[in-house]
Amino acid sequence: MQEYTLTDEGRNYLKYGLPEMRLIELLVSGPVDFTEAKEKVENFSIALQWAKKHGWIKIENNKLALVRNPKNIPEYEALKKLAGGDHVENRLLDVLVQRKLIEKQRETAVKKAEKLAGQEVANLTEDLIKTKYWKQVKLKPYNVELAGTKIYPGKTHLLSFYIQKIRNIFFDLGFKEAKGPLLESSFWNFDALYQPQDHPAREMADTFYMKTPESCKLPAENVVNEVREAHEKGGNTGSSGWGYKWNREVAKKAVMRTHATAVSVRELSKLKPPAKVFCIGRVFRNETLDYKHLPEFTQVEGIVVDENVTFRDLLGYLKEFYTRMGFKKIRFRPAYFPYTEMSAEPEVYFEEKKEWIELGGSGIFRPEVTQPLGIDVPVLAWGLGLERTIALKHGINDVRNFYCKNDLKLLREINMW
Amino acid sequence: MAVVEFSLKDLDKLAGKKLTKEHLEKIPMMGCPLEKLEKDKVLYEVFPNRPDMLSTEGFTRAARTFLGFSKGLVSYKALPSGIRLHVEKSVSNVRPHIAAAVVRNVRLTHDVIASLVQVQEKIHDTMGRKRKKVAIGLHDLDKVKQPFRYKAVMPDEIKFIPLGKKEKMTLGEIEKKHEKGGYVSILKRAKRWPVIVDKNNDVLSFPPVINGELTRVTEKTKNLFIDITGLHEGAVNHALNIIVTSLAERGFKIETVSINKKKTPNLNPRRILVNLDYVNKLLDLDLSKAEFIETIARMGFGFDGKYVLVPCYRADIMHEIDVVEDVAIAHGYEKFEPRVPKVPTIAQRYDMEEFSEFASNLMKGMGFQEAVSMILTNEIDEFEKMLIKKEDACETLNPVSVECTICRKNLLPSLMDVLAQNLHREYPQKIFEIGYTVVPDKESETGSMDMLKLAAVISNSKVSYEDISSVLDALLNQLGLSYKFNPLKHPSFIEGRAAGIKIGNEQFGTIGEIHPQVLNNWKLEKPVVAFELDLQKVFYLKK
Repeated sequence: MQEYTLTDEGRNYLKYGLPEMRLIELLVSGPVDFTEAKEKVENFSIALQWAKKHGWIKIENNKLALVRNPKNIPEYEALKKLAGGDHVENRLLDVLVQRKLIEKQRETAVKKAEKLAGQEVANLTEDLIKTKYWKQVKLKPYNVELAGTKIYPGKTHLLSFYIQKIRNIFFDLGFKEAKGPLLESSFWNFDALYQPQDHPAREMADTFYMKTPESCKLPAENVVNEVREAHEKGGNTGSSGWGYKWNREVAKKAVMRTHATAVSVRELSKLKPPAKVFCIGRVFRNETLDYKHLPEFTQVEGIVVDENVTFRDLLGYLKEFYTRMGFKKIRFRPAYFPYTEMSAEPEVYFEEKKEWIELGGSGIFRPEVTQPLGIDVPVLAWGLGLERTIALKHGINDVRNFYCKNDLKLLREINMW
Repeated sequence: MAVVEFSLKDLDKLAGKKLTKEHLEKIPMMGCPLEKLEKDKVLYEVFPNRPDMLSTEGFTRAARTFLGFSKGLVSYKALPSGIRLHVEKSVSNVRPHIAAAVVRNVRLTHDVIASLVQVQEKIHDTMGRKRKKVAIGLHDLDKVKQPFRYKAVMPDEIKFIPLGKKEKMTLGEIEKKHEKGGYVSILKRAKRWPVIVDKNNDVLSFPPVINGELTRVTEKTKNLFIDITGLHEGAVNHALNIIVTSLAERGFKIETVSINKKKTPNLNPRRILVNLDYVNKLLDLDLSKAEFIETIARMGFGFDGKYVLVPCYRADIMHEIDVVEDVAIAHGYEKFEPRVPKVPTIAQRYDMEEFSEFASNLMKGMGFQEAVSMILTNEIDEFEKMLIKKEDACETLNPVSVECTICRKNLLPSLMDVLAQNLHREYPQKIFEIGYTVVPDKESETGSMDMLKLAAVISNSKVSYEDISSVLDALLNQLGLSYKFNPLKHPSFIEGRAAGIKIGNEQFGTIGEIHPQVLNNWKLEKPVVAFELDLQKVFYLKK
């Protein structure tokens, strides 16, 4: 007994004839148009391929014509023989296998399956399924209560998870995403935000100044002048200004940006209202790393620029944002930042700690910030430190564990949903 | 951040009423978080824009109107004392500004002294910029004879007994020997240093360093002479107003001092025009003029029919917006109903971020755990441990930590650090990071350029080059890129087991097996295969 059985296609052709046989039948009474033949013969391309290969037909002027009418079709004869259990020569077997009309029967598989009949088996094998002998075995029950081998999926970092979540919140609210340089000029990091040049936040103790590059280029001279005037005497804003002599060399000094607000003001200098922009990025503070302090952390910044926005809208955006972050209770407290007025600190209530915790800063940019950049409508702005929020949300006491150390145990096991 | 401590007894006395727990818990809504409430004292944080609240008297003054015990502007009077202070030109290039006042008939009880010491110290630390911008001197007026002179002298020109000492010292000796001598650094560029002397050339003060023992203020002091010196005229006058109005709150009498052709202090309110429509529009309120006046009165402002009158101790009112904020505070932040946003704009995604998210998903799909590490690093981690020769890098000037001396140029050292931190966690460890590096770039505006990269490592008892090359192959195929690996000599990798990643004619990164010396440097015990790809370059290529 040969180890071949007919496929579904093979059995079908055995019953109705091979496609090339039907093409020949069509051509017996004379040449036929290519397109007509294509319509009339099922599986036309197979028919054409094999009839041509055997040299039975030719194509001329878009017509198909018979070259010779074969007495018998070897492949068809072979199919008949196989179905009847007769021997077929290897060359033809190969052709039929290639045409997927027959397939090798796994005789050993059947035998293997046969042996298992009536027994209790552990594994449902391929042989059992194919030969249907599974009907004659008993499949042993497993201990389904047993936990499997531990595996760790390729997983998003906790911080990235929240960054993506927050990006989506802002996109849902119609914000544009912005990026800005990590190494920034003091001008954009401080001066454009109306932070006086002797402000304590600019001191070496808080800010990373750079040895290389030592300084940055300042923007267009008119922008520089507007900012200088705002600092010195308030410029055209109606403000008294800080009342000191502004120094452009100080503004050129390169720093690692201390807040993503630097990106907001850069954007502000380019946009036309109405606009809503956000930025999530790394910021730097000159601190020694410990469980509470990070020399680098991630800040989420947003601005809304529109003629009609009010203090209530600021609170509205923040409430919407924190609600979507999963905080149920939010309140606002007065705060102080040199570049906003009103200034407000959003606080959220942590049920577990039974405590209100301040999670960021917000406000409306002062006219001394916006007007030098050519914006004469209110600008709502806010910033939030992400690592602390995540640590509080997940009860992580030492921020370093998921940030600097990337503790694999924590990252692999933490539930983000 | 300034946290100030007040005696509850003193607060009650100045407020003219017993402050309840509810009162003390409402005060933070004025803009000063409650830090700690104890049996007989309370601690609040005072924001930098309100140095007038650093004294017990000033704090109570603000609380009094906010809580509704009183309202409106408090007017202070200062009559001439007849005392003169002459300022010599010599101070103009060392410490040019001075203001002074006399306070008569003081009764310096324990509470008053505690408040004075605290306000002096806190003003020095905050608006005084550690005495550089403003320094305060308090003296017993009756120990010296006017007229006073403010002049600059050579360090060895004058001798006096500094506060707390028994012997006379020159200014130079004070710099070297006195515990406050460090403050001389504020004057360091000048040849001559400032002193305030009396008619007999007796020294009252060597600002901003130390006063003389001669004018030491004690509980017996009856009349005070106050000097404020500094680099900024506005700040000097402001600090003086804060101190003297605080003392006036105790009922003491303030008098002016003639300084050359001027008189200080000037306790008259400033006038500022505030547009009521502007207030109502920004706050979405509908205050009538009367309501507006009533509201600002709760923050201690007056109104003269046209202008808002700003008390002389408030220097933070630079623009009408500052009055708007005080209206919001007086109205109560808790009363503003957050409103559903309604600014119609269309979301816009940052395309490189989208691209990096796609790459990140591919890496996670191949079973890699994502890591996030710091951008700031140091030369040992970045170069030495990786056996790379020191290269140019963006370098910090003043790091407080030796860990943060440069910006990273590569992600691989970051991932080596992650492996080193996780020696005792389960293996295999397959980790990747997509993150920024910062490299020097003389042409650019900031002298630097942020570059997004992707790096991945596999560490296990047994790993092969193929384990990582098949990952990179899959990544690049999925990003639709055809590439070539060309053999490369790289000190961080084993020779003969490293390649450059070439796309078109350009290098986009490196791949290979980490050199055992590098593993030793990081104290790693298992082999590591790795690659690092310039993701940003790939992004721009695809774009």
